[in-house]
Amino acid sequence: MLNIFREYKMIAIGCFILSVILLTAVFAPALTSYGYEQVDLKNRNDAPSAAHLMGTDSFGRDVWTRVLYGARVSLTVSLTSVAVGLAIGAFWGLLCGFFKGKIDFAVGRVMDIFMSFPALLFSLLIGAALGPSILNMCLSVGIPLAPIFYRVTRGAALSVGEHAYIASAKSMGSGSFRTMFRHVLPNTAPQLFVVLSSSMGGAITAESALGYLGLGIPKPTPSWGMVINEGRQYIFDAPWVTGFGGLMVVLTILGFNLLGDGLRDYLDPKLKG
Amino acid sequence: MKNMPGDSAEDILTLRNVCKYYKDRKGSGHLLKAVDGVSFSVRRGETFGLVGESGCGKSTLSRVILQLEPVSGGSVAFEGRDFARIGRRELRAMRKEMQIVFQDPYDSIDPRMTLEQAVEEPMAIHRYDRSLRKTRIKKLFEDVGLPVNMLNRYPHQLSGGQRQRLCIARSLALSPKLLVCDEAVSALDVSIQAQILNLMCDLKEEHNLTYIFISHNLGVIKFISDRIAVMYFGKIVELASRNEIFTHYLHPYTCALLSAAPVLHPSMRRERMLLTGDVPNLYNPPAGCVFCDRCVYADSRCRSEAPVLRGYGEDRQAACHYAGELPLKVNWGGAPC
Ligand SMILES: Nc1ncnc2c1ncn2[C@@H]1O[C@H](COP(=O)(O)OP(=O)(O)O)[C@@H](O)[C@H]1O
Ligand SMILES: [Mg+2]
Repeated sequence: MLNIFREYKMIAIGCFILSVILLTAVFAPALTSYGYEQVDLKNRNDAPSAAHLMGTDSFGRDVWTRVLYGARVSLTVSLTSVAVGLAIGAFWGLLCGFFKGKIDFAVGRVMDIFMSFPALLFSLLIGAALGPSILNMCLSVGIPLAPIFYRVTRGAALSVGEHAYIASAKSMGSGSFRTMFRHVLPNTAPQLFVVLSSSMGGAITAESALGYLGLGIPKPTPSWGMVINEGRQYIFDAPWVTGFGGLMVVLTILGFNLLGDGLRDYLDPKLKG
Repeated sequence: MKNMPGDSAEDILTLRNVCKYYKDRKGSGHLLKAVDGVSFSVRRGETFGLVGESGCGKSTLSRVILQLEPVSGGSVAFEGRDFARIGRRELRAMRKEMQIVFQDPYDSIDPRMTLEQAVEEPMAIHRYDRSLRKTRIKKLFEDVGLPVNMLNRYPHQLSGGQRQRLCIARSLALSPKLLVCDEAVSALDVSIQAQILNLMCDLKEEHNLTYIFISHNLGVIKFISDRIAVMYFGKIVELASRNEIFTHYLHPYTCALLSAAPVLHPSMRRERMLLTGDVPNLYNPPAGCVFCDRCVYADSRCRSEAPVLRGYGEDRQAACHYAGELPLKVNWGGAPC
């Protein structure tokens, strides 16, 4: 395990960033003496200070506290929705790219319909239909991600399927599903990792956009999206609200991207000694 | 007629009028006849060579033989059992009996598997006992001449020759009776080719194998085969034993193929029978003999009537209206191998 970190710096840095964020989310209550809803009208839009590490927002709430608690929601939502999108998209993509033919045509047209909606509009529709809750949030952010995973997986599966090792496995009596999961899926993983880490950022952004439109997590539980959007109105008076909220989003995306790229290299047998 | 496909006990594989047509990729509705009416049988224990220019349908035929693709017409029978008539489960069991070695050793092993996993895979699929697998892997590694300490390496760490040895080990794991080698040495350096060919000859004895050896290289085919079939645009045009085909070829295409092979020494330079005319269009083959556009002896009969593969004495077949009547001549200078 330590060897991986030494050899793959990107994995090490990514893991470090993500685990710090994760730990602060888990131990949020221990890391602050304020409540995330604790309003202090005397200290509105205060700049960062010893009392308020990241300043306060327009209600005088401690931004550090809101960012800590917000990590819980944002991480849960982004991870779960990416998992939802990945599960749906990669499964159908693998099936279509492997079997081709009629099933590919049918699923492809359905995905075309999905892709013809802008993702955000799609999220809005699902969100509006399901109503606000964390689980529905995950679905409404995750389902629009599925076509991206579908497309990437299908393309990768099609090209992997051309290799002689797939025909070779078949000639040895490997069944379709065994070949698909043992040979095709692992060899599409490098392409999947690239979209995986970048869609993590998209999920966090989508979550904040939905929050802004009032279809996010039911208030008062803060999320990073909510922190950013609440700070937008006061961006010139109190830039730290949006700034620190955004910084967390950027750091998380960076962490995921580093981890994703590192894992892709790590999983490539050609780069192993 | 002797040697026409039959169900004699010495035949391990029988092809009857096998066809494989592909739809035009551009959707014009034309059929591409990659393999068109091929019939022959392979005898137990022999090495059956299949030679022909690139694109004449050799790989397609091998895929059809191994049931990697369904036939468009005709039948393939292994040890008398017709593949079209057996169930899925039986087909899976029959896959153990015949295996294939592909041309490109860089492409035919999953890059994510260690050498051990690659050789173990077929045995895992067919639920071999675990301890048996381990001993068999070691044995197979020794048989093909790979050091056992390479078990945990990855395929990309091997040279081309070593990889092809690995592919051979993998294909022998299930103790098949028939091994189809589709251009198995064509991607290798000439010196490595010779090593692999020798290895295959040794393995044939040791494992009681029957080979179908496919190549566009006459030298390789001549070295390894007992009987040779010459394929031209989806059809077998001549089939004979090795000695016959290099001396008493009956088909003008065989003659052209032999004269096209490079000669090693200038003193062996010879009259060449040059190929003229265009390669036939696979979508729109000539009405008569497929070779008629390029054949210097072609007449009106050749252009209108397709010749069938007929027997000419012991172990010789040719698909030419004028087989045996043409003044074909080429000084075969020996294999460039
Ligand atoms: N899956 C396929 N779809 C359409 N055409 C194919 C397919 N596979 C092979 N062909 C065509 O069939 C012909 C014979 O190909 P192939 O069997 O690979 O020849 P060879 O192995 O003798 O070089 C070629 O013209 C090729 O383009
Ligand atoms: Mg070929």
